[in-house]
Parts: sequence; C-alpha cells; structure tokens
Amino acid sequence: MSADLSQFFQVFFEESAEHLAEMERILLSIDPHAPDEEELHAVFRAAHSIKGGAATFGFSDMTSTTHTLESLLDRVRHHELGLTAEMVDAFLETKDAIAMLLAGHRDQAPVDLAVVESACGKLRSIEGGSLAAVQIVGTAAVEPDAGSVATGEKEYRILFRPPADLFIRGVRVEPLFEELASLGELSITAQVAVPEDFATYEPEQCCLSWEMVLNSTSSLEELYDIFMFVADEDEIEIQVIEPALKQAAVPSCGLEPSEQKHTSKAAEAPPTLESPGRRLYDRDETAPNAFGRRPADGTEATSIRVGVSKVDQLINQMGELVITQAMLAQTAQQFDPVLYESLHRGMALLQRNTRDLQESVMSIRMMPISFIFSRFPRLVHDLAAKLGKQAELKLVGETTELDKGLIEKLADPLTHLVRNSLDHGIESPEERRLAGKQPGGTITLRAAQTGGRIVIEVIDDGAGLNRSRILQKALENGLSVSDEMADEEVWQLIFAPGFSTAEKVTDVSGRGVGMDVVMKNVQALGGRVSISSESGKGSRVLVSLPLTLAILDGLSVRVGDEIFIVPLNSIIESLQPQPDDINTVSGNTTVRVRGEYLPLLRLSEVYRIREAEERPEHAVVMIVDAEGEQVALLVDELLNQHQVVIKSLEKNYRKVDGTAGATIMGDGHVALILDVGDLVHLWRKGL
Amino acid sequence: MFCRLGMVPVNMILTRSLCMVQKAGNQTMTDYQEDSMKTELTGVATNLSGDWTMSGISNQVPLLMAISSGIGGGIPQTNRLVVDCSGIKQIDMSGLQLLYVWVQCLQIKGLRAELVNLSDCMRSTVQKVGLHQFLGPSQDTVIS
Repeated sequence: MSADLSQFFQVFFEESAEHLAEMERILLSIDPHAPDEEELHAVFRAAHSIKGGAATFGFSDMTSTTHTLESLLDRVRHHELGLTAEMVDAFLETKDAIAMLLAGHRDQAPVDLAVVESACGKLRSIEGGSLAAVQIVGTAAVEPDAGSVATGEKEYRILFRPPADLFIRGVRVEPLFEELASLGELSITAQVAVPEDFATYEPEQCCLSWEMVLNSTSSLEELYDIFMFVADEDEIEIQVIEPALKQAAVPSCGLEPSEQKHTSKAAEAPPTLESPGRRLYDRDETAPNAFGRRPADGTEATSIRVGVSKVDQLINQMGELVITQAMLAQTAQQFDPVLYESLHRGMALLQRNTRDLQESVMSIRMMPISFIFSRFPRLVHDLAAKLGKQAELKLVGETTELDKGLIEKLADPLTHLVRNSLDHGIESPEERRLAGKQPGGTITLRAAQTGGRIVIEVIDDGAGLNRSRILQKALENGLSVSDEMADEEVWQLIFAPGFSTAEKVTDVSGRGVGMDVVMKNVQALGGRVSISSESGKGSRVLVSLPLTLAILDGLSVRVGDEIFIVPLNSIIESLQPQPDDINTVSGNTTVRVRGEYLPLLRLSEVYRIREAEERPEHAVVMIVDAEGEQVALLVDELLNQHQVVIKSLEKNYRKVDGTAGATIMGDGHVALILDVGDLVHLWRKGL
Repeated sequence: MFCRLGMVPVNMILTRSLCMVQKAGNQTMTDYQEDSMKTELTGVATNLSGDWTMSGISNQVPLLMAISSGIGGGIPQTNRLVVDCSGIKQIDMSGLQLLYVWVQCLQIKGLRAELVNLSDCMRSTVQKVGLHQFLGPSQDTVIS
C-alpha cells in the first residue's frame, strides 16, 4: 500500500481555501464589541483545521503561522482577552498570509515571508501585550513560584501510543514532533515492541510508541490539539509534571528493553491528570474528513470531490447522447405510430430519461454565485479604509446558481466593477454630507436568473457618471463624440481601451485598463455589459450572461431555407399578425400586440436570407425578451422544440454576430442558436 | 534462489580494513533483486539499498531474514555486523522500525549490528523521531 500523502494535497488545498474563506466571511461580519460566541468558535475551528492538515502534510510554515493565529483566537474565545478591532485586522492579515503560503505550496506562487512575519508579529505583539497585562493581575493575586510564573513555562510528559495501523493510514509523525519542538525544548524517546522472532514481524504494523518531555509555555489543550488528527484520546496522554515530581518523571536516557517497558508501564506510570478531552466540535470536525484518520463505523460522507475534467467529460458525453437521441427521434418519426407503437413509446421514454439525466448532469456544474460574492465584503472593507470612505456592501441573490466555468471567469470583471464603484462612484463622507446624503454609501451586488440568462448588477448610490467629463475625455482621446449623443451611448465610451476620467492614477484605478477588460471578459463568456447612471444618485452596471455553456432548450424556426434555434426561455409568445396590426413608422415596421407597438425584426434582413417570407401576415411573429425589452421576431415557420447542445462557433468556425453558437440537429444539419439580446444590438446597429 | 553465504572469519573483519572486508566479500556477493531495490551481502558487511518506505518494505523483509539466517549460521563466533545504509534511497517510519526490529532480533541472537553511512536525511529523521539511541555509535563510519 502506498503511503504517498501527495495524492491528498489537492483535497487539503481546497478545504483550506474554504476554511480561509469562511474565516474571512465571519471576521468581516463580526462585531468586535459584542462578538458572537459561535462565530469565534467557528473561526478557531477553521484555523485549527488548517493547522492540523498542514501539520499532517508537512507544511511547517503554514502550521506555525496558523498556530500563532490559533493561540490568540483560543484566548479570545475563552474570554481571556477581549476582541478588538485591531485583533480582527490582525486576524485578517494573518488569514491573507496563510492564503499566500497555501498558494505557495499549491501553485508554487512566490511567498513574501516578510508579510507572513509581519502578520505573526502583530499577533504576537497583541498577545504579548495582553499576556503581560494578565500576568500583572495574576501576580498580585497569586504567590509567584520560582520563576515559572514569570515565564509561564511548564514541563509536560507526553506519552504517544499510536495505533497499529498508523503506517497504513499514511500518517507522518515527523511534522507532529517538529510542531512540538517549535513550542519549546523537546526530548523524544521512541520505544519499539520487538517480536521474539523476526519471522513473525509484520512490517506494516506500527509497534512504536513515544515518550516525550516538553518544556513549553503552551497550554495542555494546545498540545492535545497537535495530536488531534492522528490520535484518539486513549492513544495520547499528556501530564503536567509538578516541580516536585520532575526528577522522578523525566525518562532516563538509557532505556529499558522495550518489552519490559510495555509490561511495567501501566503500574509505574504516575497518575494521569484528567484529560480535558476534545470538545464536541472537534469530534464533529475531525471524525469523518480528517486527513489520515480512520472513518468511524457507519459514517457516510455526504459529498465527494470530483475533478472538473471528469464533470466536463460527463457533460460532453451527455451532449453527444442528446444529439443521438434527437437523431433517433427524427428517424423514428418516419415509422407509423400505430404499427410501431412500442418503438414510439420507447422513444418517448428515452427522451424523458435523457432530459432528466441532462438536468442532473448539468446541475453538477452549477454553483451559487456566493462563491464570487463572498470575496467582496473584504475587498470593500479594505478599499474603503484605504480611500477614507464609508461604504456598505449589500449582497442580493447569493444563492443564484450559474455554471462553474462562468463563475471562475466572472470574478475578475466583477472585482473591477466593485472597485470602480467604490473608487469613482461612492463619494467621500464630506462630499456626501454636502450633497445631503448619508456619509456612508451603499454598493449593491445583485444576481438573479432572468429567462435564460443570469443578470448581475453592481449598483452604487454615489455621484453617478459625469457626462460632460466623459465627453471631454473622449474628445481628448480622439474619439468621435457629440453633445447630442444619448446617455447610453456616452456611458458606452468608458469601455473604450485606455479610457479613464480619473484625475490621478492610483493603485486602485485610474489607469484606464479596467472597463475595456471587463467588457472583453464578459463578451468572451457570451455576455453583455450595460450601464445606466443618474448624476448625483448613482450608477448601475448590468452584466448579463448565458445561464450555462452547454445545453439549452430551444425552438427551431425556419427562415427561408435556414433553420435557427431560439432559446425557449427568451420566447414570450408566438402569433400570426393581422394586416391591420402591421404599421410602418419612420421606415421601421412595428407590430401591434394587445395595444402595444413592438419593433419588428426580420431575421431574413439581418442574415440576408433569400426567399424568406416578407409579409408578416403570412409568416409568424415571435415575441421575444431581449434583456427586458420586447421585440417581435419575424420567421417563416415554427418547427419543433429541441434540447440542443451548444457547440462553439468560435472554436470551429468564427464568431457569428447575434448567435450564441451552433448545434447539430437530429438530421445532421447545423443550425445557428440565436442570442436574442445580441441580435437586437446587431439589428439596431444596422438600422 | 538465495545462496548460502561464505563468510569471512571474524578475526579478519575485526583486524583488517573495511576495504579488505569488501574485497573478501566480493567473492560471495549475491544480488537478490534488480538494482532499483536490492540488499546485497558483502562478506559480513551488508549493504542496504532501495526503497525503505511503506511501499517498499515488504520487499526488504525476506532479504533481511536471509541475512539474519545466513550470518547466524555462517559465523557463530562473530558478534559484529556492519550495515552500510548509503544505498537507502528513501526511508520512513515503517522502514526505520523495520531496521530497528531487525537489529534487535540480531542482538537477541548475539550479533551486534552497526549502522553506518546514514544519509543526512535519514540521520535527521532518526534523531527527530527519537530512535537515535538504537542505531549504534558508529554512524559516521565510512566504508570505502
């Protein structure tokens, strides 16, 4: 059996990242003046889990840094010290340092040890200062004892009797001893139960035990915690050696034969201090998922970690299955439903099962957008402090789910937008007071699923975009502008490469390399960015993205000889208009639907398709939702509803405006999948 | 498969240089496995090599047993075996435990084994896990 722990590294990295994120989330929401007990415990648990894992895998830098953090946290949660805002900042700084160390181990990213040392130094400084204060109080109340009170150092005798399957579980004990050694002066003596005959020796069974003497200022509980991930309570025994007992308790250098040790130890061992035991949360946290720990009998994991590549492979195969099912369905239509009833029944069942399977598979990749949103409280907290502003962040719709691929690529654009809102949008407290506003601004991040798209909004109640300044800057940059431009067109100017209206370039923004990158990144995901703003009241940036990048439900329509797929969730209704409902206003055709006049978009015109039906009253009008705007789409015929697999046109051909990709139909033909929003943009440009 | 070892008399081991011991041992050298993981015997100086971690120790046990039985039968008068560890590529706690148990079992038979030429890494691990007393005083002996 292999004892290679590196196979578990990825799990450790992922879990540690989650613990760090959780730690940050709590620290940002915690009230230093009235901290919630459970939140303090949760932060401690997160730090403790990281430390335990790091020790198991031999990442000693992470172990020691997290240990420093954990020590202070432990004192805070046990009310030895009161939580302060300074502590919270130091905790956050240390969390960042641990994240950097983690990235160093995971991605071989550079690690700035000065930052790590600075963070640990702050923690030690806080703890040291508080410790001194506590000791002054303690000295007044208690008789000092021969210098040990001054240093707080105790002598511990540690007996570690690991289970026989220690090696099989792949547990490395060296990091434990290293961590113990980092706490003070340590002497270790190993004992081995030697069999009488070498022939009976089982090499994979651990027959080692250790006796250690440690002089340290650490608490008994901290020492127990070090063994948390490798030993059960009955396998570790730690005693505080009283000064009078020291001489007797320190093990001699010359060991007795190990066999004798084992038989006589129980009788000779000094009385064990009552074990503090593990707290309830420790059991919960470590039992099933701890590294190198045996799962308890009957314990079932509620989730498993699977590589993204495996999920992608599953989705690709699902896509192929959907296409095959569509081909079979098309072929089956040629058979008489009466004569071949069982075939048609089987095809219906196959279609239903394929759909269920597809929905299940697609849901694997869906993740809540809170994965991105959770980083912004910290960003706003730090940036607001840096800029001398007051800002509150509101998160709405955090449970909205979207494809994992989108989530990962959306993080950077959203970060740009939030930073921009805080830097350029939200005014300083003085400016806000002068404008009759509350000194603290609000940035709202809102996510929602609208039709087939995910819409994410970044809204601030700041000063809004400065129209005249943007126009002036655009003119200076050589862009073609005029005062008559509509607001929407002016706002779009800020997406031009290198555009910035900032008075001075800071490390926050103002270099003009933000919004154009945002636009490019979002467009690469099949999304769009739009802005609305009102002077003095704030701005709203709307990012609209496709729900998923793999499979969608669509309606096939015919225009001339071409087949298009219209995403089902964009379609509001379809109708055949009467001649009276068709009007032409300033050269633009409109359709009257229940008293409302909707612009008519002819697909044949956009894609220059010949032999398409020109007269709306002889064709079909589809009312579609183009990001909140209703448009009438003129097509020749509605064909069928399909589940289509989106194939990238960019990868296989080239980008085709107004489309979200292409798909392979049941008969093997390729059909373009319309992106209604983009199509409307394209159509308006051509008007 | 395992050859009976022709051992060098104990007085030769104790009086001649280690180099000469190796020369004498070359006459009866036996390879048990391929180069990547092998335990070779050279006279009464034994070279240990290969993988001594959990993934490799099961292969080392029969070789150690062969050495034990070979030495025990070949030179009843001797009380010293030099074990050259320079060929050990990697070792973990399970490997150290195996070595220790083997050395102790030899001791029960009246043979004192001395581990020599430990790599820095191995020596560091031995110290770190508290096994330093057991691996003998002549860790720095060099067989050339």
